[in-house]
Amino acid sequence: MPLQIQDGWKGILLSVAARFGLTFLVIFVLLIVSTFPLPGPHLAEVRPAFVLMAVYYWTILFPGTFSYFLTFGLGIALDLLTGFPLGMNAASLVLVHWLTFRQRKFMLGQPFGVLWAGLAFVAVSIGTLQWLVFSLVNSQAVAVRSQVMSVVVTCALFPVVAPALSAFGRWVAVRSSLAGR
Amino acid sequence: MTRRSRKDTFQAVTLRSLAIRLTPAVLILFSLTLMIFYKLDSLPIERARVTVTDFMAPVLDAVSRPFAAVTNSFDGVRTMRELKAENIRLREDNAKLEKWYEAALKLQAENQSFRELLNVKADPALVFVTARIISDPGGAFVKSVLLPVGTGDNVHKGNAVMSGHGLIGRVVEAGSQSARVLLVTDLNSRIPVMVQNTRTRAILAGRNTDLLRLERLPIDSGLSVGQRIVTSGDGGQLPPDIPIGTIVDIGPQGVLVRPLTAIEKVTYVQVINTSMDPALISGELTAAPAH
Repeated sequence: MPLQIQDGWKGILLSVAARFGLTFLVIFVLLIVSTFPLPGPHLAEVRPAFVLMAVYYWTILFPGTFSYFLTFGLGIALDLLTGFPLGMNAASLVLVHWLTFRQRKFMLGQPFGVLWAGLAFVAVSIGTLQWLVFSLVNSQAVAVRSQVMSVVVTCALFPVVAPALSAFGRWVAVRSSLAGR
Repeated sequence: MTRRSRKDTFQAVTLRSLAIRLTPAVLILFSLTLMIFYKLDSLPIERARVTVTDFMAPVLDAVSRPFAAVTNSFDGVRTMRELKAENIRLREDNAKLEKWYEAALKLQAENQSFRELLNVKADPALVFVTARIISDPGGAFVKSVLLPVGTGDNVHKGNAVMSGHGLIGRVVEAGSQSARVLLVTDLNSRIPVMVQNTRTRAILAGRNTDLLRLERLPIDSGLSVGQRIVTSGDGGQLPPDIPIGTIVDIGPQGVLVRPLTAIEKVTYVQVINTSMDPALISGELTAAPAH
């Protein structure tokens, strides 16, 4: 159901609530999906980073649809749900949001292949960083195989997930009348 | 007046711009502070986690059903050759088990008569709560599963969790309608165990891989590949003699144990509710009874 666009401060408030609310809702669904193993043999420990994909892609295409605080909140929710040390996913997602936003102008005009390579770089960097932090927190080197598999699957699934993210981001931006802000 | 107003506006814009620029750095620093706080004292965070898990349990339960159906259908797709091989193996297993069943009946009768002769005080009966795994959220770093049962179902922190074959973990967080189980394969899992036939005590540590490692073994413990590892019951949190795995390798990496259960294939588990001393449960201390 399309949201009504109103003038004045009520309209602005409604737009902000709509875009943040809808974005939060979608990323929250992705967050829940992220907690389930992929079907198929040898994939039980693999978790594609759907939330990371959404934060990365929307920061480039629709930066007005969410804020750093929303990213932080989602990271905390992910930490609480997955049993990770509290703050680990929050810091990772805010870092992705921040770094991607700084490179946004360069990325905007690029073909999809460059965006894909950018996601691969981000996924590998964050995967490595999380592995380092987790090893540090546990005072020993953690097994790396599952994390490598997760990063590979995240990169492989991005071309499948990106069109859906793009379509939904556009829908939210248009409906909340704040596209491109 | 206008100049002052412009100055104020400029200052406000500069401050706002500075705040926007600093927000991610502040949030990252805050996250790092939370991580340090978590390492120092995890109890408040554990409570927050229990609250979130309790809230999310019904959603995860609903979402997990189609996922489980898809996973099961993948498992169900097997070639005819695999099924034939499995059928042959099952027939052989059945023949072996029939012999063991006869032996077990004989030993049970013998054990019963000895117990009566010696007037042995029997261990309290164990109460089971069966539950479906609704989520397996940890992934690469944390090996845990969520169950849709909690303190309302008499499931408490510290309870042992079993599959059909043996111990797979223990409850580390219990809310009113959900419980988080730390699997034996998790890096932070430490289970007091013993070798079944020699009664040699040790600690079974998770490594975030399929294999577990025996630690704190006595010198000259005389271990060999194939020996079964069971819980020792030391510490009073887990009941004794629950099977966990078998020794598969003794080498430079230490004594490695493979769990009896392929944990990623488990759908239903049993939570063993032992009537143990509540003072043993961290964070649930109770006052000593008045005499």
